[in-house]
Amino acid sequence: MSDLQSTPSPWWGHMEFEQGQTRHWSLAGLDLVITRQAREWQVRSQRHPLQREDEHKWSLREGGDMEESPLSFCRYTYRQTHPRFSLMPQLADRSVVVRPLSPLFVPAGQETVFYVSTPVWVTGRVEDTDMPIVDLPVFVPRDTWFGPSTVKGMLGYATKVTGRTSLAQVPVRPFRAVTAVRVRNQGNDNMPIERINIPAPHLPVFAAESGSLWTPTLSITRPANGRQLDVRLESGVWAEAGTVTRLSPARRGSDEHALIRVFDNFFD
Amino acid sequence: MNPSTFSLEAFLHSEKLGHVIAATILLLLGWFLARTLAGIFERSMQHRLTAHQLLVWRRIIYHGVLIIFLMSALREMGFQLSVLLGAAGILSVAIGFASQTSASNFISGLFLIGEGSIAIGDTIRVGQTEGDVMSIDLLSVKLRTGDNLYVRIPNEQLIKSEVTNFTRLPIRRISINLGVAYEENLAHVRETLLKVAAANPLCLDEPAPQVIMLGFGDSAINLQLQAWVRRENNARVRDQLQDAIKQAFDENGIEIPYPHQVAVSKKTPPVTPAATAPAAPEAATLTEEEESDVREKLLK
Repeated sequence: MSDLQSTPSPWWGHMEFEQGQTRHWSLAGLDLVITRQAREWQVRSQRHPLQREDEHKWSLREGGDMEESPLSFCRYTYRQTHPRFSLMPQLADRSVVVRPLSPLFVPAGQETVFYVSTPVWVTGRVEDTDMPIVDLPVFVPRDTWFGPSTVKGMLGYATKVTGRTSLAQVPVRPFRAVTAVRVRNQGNDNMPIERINIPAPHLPVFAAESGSLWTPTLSITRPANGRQLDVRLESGVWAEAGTVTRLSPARRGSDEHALIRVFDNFFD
Repeated sequence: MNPSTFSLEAFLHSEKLGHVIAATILLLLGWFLARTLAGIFERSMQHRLTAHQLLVWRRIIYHGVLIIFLMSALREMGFQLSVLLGAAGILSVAIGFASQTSASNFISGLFLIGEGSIAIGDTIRVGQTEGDVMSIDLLSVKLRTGDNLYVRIPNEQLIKSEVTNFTRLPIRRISINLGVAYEENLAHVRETLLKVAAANPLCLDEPAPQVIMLGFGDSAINLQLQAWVRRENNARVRDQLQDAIKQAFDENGIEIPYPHQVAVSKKTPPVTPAATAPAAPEAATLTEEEESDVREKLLK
């Protein structure tokens, strides 16, 4: 076994598999082994029982031995397999509710930008097909409920964030994507931000030159004369992220109605 | 000439035959059209409507089209619908008296469909029966139980009795009752239980899990761990949590006590050996001093 790549190279990318070749990714406690055979792709995966959300080490090596039998083993059969394979980060398949570790307020008449990060899924596709043969969270976030009562609301994933307001403080983390949330409070009182519901399935993922992952910016305005928030998904990534490359599309198209439904309860 | 042959021949040459044939064609056409329209509706709307809504709309379309063609067929055969409806009214009163149970179930079925408290695919409990709703018909609801039994429940029973729908709301609360020894540090026990819930990604972060004290039992302090989960994960998480609790208690040395009793036997005056019955091996004889110690411990 030999290390083909190590940090700070990205763990994602396009690659070619020889027939019979196996690659083994260890992504922060998630072991993923991909093998190409003449007529099938084989996917083995195993998750460390004590996986931590703040773990960011990864490695890629040739060969596919797992210390234990894999938790999951799937085979995808084709008439003839092609060598091209891509492994990319993608955002969660449900909304992610981020909760600042300490209470955040935007005073009246102020505008600010929070950088919040959400966990990524790893998706693997062969021959540039739309349907992935691998679609796993690097770290399985906890389920959560976002709504005013246990009857009305929506299911999502929970993650805790610091809610940094300076880009310099945002660390480069290979398994979390940063979303810049621009908040304008045009109201007459403080605007509390206890939870933010990030509509992850509607966000594509970009990679910055620094190695960090980004999503398009969310812009929220609280008008002076009402409680209805004006929420927009901006077309581009936050300018200070620098030059970015698009890695994967959003899971769901930017269906306006779906976005409105998501944004109905944007803030708790 | 045979009179019956004559009448058949007359019938065959009369206008009535034409009307009967036309009515039959209308009925067949109506049946075909009703089936086709209901099928097209089901196929085109199956991704937009729930299984229950599909069933209701399919029946409305099917029976609506069929009734229109049936009325046309009767008119074609020369029946006057107003007379028929009057007769049907009288008939329905007679049938109503004769079959009150069926009529009650029928009316209850209409209420059930209209109320929408249960739908096809829901998991419900009626009395002692628990299962998935397979169909909601005019007279009864069919359930498939967990052990794959087919149960028919009359609609009247569903209207009259308490029905629990397990799948109506997207999240559910799991309550796990357990007892810990009186010697345990309750804060530590609570912390351990909450850590177990937090370590399970299927337990919802919010509403947050909590531990409540139910009371003082005979042998243990009774606690309840409450955790919220997605409804489809209910059984799996309950199993995982109980397993994890046992493991966490073992690792942290927290005792789940067995029910135990202390037997106290007072010292009796000496009697003749012949009159003494053999003492039970489990019962210990205590002096007055030991007995007071035991009492103190129990009071603690």
